[in-house]
Amino acid sequence: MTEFLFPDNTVLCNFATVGCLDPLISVLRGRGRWTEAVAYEARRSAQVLPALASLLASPELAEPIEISADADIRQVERIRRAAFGGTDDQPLRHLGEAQTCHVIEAWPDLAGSWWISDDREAVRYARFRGITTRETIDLVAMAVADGEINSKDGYSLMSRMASAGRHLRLPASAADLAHY
Amino acid sequence: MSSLVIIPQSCDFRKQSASLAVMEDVRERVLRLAESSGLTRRAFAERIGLDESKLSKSLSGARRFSSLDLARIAEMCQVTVDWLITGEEPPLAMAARTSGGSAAEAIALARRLCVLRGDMAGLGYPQPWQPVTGASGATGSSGGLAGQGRALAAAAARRLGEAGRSAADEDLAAAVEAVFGVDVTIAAVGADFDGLAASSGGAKIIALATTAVPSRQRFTLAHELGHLLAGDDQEVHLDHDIYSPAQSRDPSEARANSFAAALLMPEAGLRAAVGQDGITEQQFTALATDLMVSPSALAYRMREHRLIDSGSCDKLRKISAARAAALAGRGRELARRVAAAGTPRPPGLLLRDTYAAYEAGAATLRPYANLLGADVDELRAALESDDGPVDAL
Repeated sequence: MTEFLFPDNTVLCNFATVGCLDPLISVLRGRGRWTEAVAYEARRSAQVLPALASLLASPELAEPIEISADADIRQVERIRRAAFGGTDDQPLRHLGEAQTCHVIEAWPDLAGSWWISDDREAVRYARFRGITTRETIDLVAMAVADGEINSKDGYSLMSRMASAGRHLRLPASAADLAHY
Repeated sequence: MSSLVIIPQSCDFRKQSASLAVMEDVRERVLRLAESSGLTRRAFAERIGLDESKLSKSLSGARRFSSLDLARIAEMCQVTVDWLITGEEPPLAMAARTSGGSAAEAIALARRLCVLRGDMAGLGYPQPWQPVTGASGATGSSGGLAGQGRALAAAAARRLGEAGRSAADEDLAAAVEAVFGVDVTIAAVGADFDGLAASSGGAKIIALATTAVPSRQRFTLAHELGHLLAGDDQEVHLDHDIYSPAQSRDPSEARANSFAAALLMPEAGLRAAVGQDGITEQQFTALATDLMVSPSALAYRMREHRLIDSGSCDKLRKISAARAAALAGRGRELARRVAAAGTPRPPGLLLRDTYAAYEAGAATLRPYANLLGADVDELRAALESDDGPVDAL
């Protein structure tokens, strides 16, 4: 079974904020997936984070997954409201999270996929649902393990993300990242 | 302005043809929204992130609208995704759109809470509604509408008593939630509104306006509970002015008022207070303070039961709440109650259930934080922190 990776928009923005998408692209290569709502959020974010545009144009994230069966759409709506606190009058709020959770949970061909998010609420919820979760720190550690980036640069990269105001879990040191 | 029963009215095509909307499919509903938007087909498509060709295919059935398409259409056209799929719109949603000012705010709040309860029910947390046994029978009681209200109030009082509670509990909202399973919320929604009762899709909600008049808020709470227990099947029942004379002309209002009066000022208690010797002004004000009702409401109620004459009623009903509290030597109590009535209160049962869902991992902390009006990250940080070093105590 292929383990697809579903990064949420905040993860994409972490890398775009520091203008360094290569480690992300290397990890996603061939197995990055996203739903249409996450792609929509990313396109909107690209208006203020131009580096995201290159990711949107790259083949590393497959075509956005569209959810079009009525039963799926209604279930996404229930998850968006009940689990993520979305409301009827803001139908786009938390839609990406709800879509991602739903397709990983309910679509057999995506079962076992990883959800990549730095949102603690989303991660906690997904774990309770049995969805494998990873964070930005895991992606950077994977890039380090794959030799795409050395641990010192990986640590520096993440430190710059945090300095830019991004909210993510940080390694204690470069060595910590290498042995993560 | 008196109470108002909200009946679905129409101001756009969704309301003009609610039954037709249910019969239509999503494509037809989107088409009608596009037509009523005043935009060209191309402009409408652009606004929802589609090109014209994709929109045409979706409208013709060659392509299905996606979850994102529908969310963008819902956002732009101020409808819900559920309505786009089903064509069914809860009366609360229609009422919210046909009302203005404080009423619209209150109905929108009730609608959000009803939707949340419906979603929580899907997670295993239904409204714990506990109607009074024989409540429907109370509507057939002798004594007309007032008799029905009194019978219902007696049954409700028994239920409160069985649970170790009383209508004289200072926190009546908590008692109503605990005993009847109704969510009670207090919100700052403006001055021209007292409260509403909403019954929708299994949810039972009472929403009250913040006020500096605690006795009025208390009477409104009892009145709205009366509507729910009587099964007044109106989805949402809005009361702008609980004391309006026009109130008594509506049968369900008259019954709810009778219920509230009998629940808050039970006849037996009043008779015991008056005894053989009548009641002094000081005893009267102490009783009003004990029961947490206004002197005027108590005076009329006592006159209704011929415990005082019309002259005494006219004199006693003119006593202000502040004067009553001063005469009874209980100004502090009044000050505390005024502060409480002016303080927003989230719905207690939904708070309990959203937190339980969070604990169980069935939901994030966000629905709970939303009810509190709190930032979810700050709230989680607070929940996960300890209370501070013990040695600081």
